[in-house]
Amino acid sequence: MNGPFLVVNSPQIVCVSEPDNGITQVTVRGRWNGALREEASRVLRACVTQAPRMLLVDLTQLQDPAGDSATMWRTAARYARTVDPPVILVVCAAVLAVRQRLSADGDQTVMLADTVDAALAATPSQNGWIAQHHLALPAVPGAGALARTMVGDACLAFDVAHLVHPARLIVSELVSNAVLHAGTDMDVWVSVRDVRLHLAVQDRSRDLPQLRDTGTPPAALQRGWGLGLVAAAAATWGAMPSRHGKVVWANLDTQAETAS
Amino acid sequence: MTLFTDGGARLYVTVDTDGDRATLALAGELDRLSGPLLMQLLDTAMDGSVKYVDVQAAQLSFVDAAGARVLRDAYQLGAGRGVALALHDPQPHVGWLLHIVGIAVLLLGDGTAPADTAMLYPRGAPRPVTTGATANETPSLPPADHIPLADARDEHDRHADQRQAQADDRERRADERDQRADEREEQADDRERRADERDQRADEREEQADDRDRLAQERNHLIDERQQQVSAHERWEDIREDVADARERDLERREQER
Repeated sequence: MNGPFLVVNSPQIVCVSEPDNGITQVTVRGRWNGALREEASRVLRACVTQAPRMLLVDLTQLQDPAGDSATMWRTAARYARTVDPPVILVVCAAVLAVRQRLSADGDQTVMLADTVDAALAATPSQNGWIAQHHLALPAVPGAGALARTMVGDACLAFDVAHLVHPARLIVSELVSNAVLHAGTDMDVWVSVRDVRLHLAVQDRSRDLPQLRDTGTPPAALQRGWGLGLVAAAAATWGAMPSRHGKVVWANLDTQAETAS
Repeated sequence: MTLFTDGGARLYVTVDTDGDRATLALAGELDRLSGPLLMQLLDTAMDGSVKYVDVQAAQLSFVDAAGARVLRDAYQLGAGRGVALALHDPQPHVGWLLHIVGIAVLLLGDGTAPADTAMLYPRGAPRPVTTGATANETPSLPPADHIPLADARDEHDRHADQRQAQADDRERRADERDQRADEREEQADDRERRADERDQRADEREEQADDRDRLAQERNHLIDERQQQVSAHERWEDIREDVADARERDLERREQER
């Protein structure tokens, strides 16, 4: 069973996932040091694993006059390219020292932008998303059933019928959790990009109930079968803050062996 | 306001009683919403003279965690009353779920070997690592003092002060590099320790588990996931090493140009 990729906001790193357009924005602020490096490394890896189409790293408020953080961004950008499908990582509003180091010798590994807005403007919208279905749901007991129907239909529409069962189970459990723990309106997205079926459920609560058992499989199964099933059915899964609350996401491999 | 024309519960049950045997045929979806209704029906069915309850699940298209819990609770309720509850002919994905939560043997009995459960769950073949740029072995780190320190006291150098500053700067970076190497080593140790811990946890689970089928399946799954995560981690570390090496080479080059 795979441990979840959980991202919580901290004073120095703020993360905002936007599942509707596949963009995740990470703001890193304050003085650059070893501790921040470690945290940034963990957060960026979780963000890449979620597999947005674009990952924006906003350094407007980062204090790094010597440009020491450059190796971190270069590492992250190269890592983002190795995942399938690749994640575009754009470093926004870096100080001159960081920019110089990142673009030394005409190196183009790391994409740079003056501001987050400029990065967004430069990227074609919906680039690479084959398709996406969305459903807004209230926190009612039957929400899980409605979400299941939508996900099943989406899988058929996306020609990934072999993923219908795990996808329905995952979304159903995530929506049930949101109804139970958050009790707010929610959004469900199902998207396909290349070999990845991405499932995301957003509610309006910032709390990550999953944090109580950080992925130790026996605890996850004992406390609630629901998340244990999500972990077993998904290739990767996790949770991170979003604009309106949080997003719990799961990825499935569309090239998986089919059942029967 | 959300209106469910079907009340939200999408489970249909027919109950037949024949002597000491009750048969419940389920169709539709067993979940958080329909679970309590099924529990009521089972409770009622096991209240009389029956000794056996057969739950026919061939038409049951969906079961979630709450639904599985209802089946387990019903089994235990029956056991307390001397009634044997058994589930028959679950669809493959339902069988997979019962195995994962560890109640398949309970409900399906020993007769139903999970021979076909290995392929129940669509699991992807391990994805090939797509980058060709990363080295597999960790490059050995050069000794910390491999950059010759500039002799800042060269009397013939009219820019002694400036060179001193450069040397200091270089030393600072070498220190940083050292520190990072230390951190990397710590992380590698940490990784090993975590792998050990995970092994230990897997062992503990083995002792606790009463469902061998589920365990075997789980372990394969776990190994698969772990391999994927470790390879992802290694990919990250390889890239990080590469970047650090490139940076150091760059430093050396600039040093020589000076």
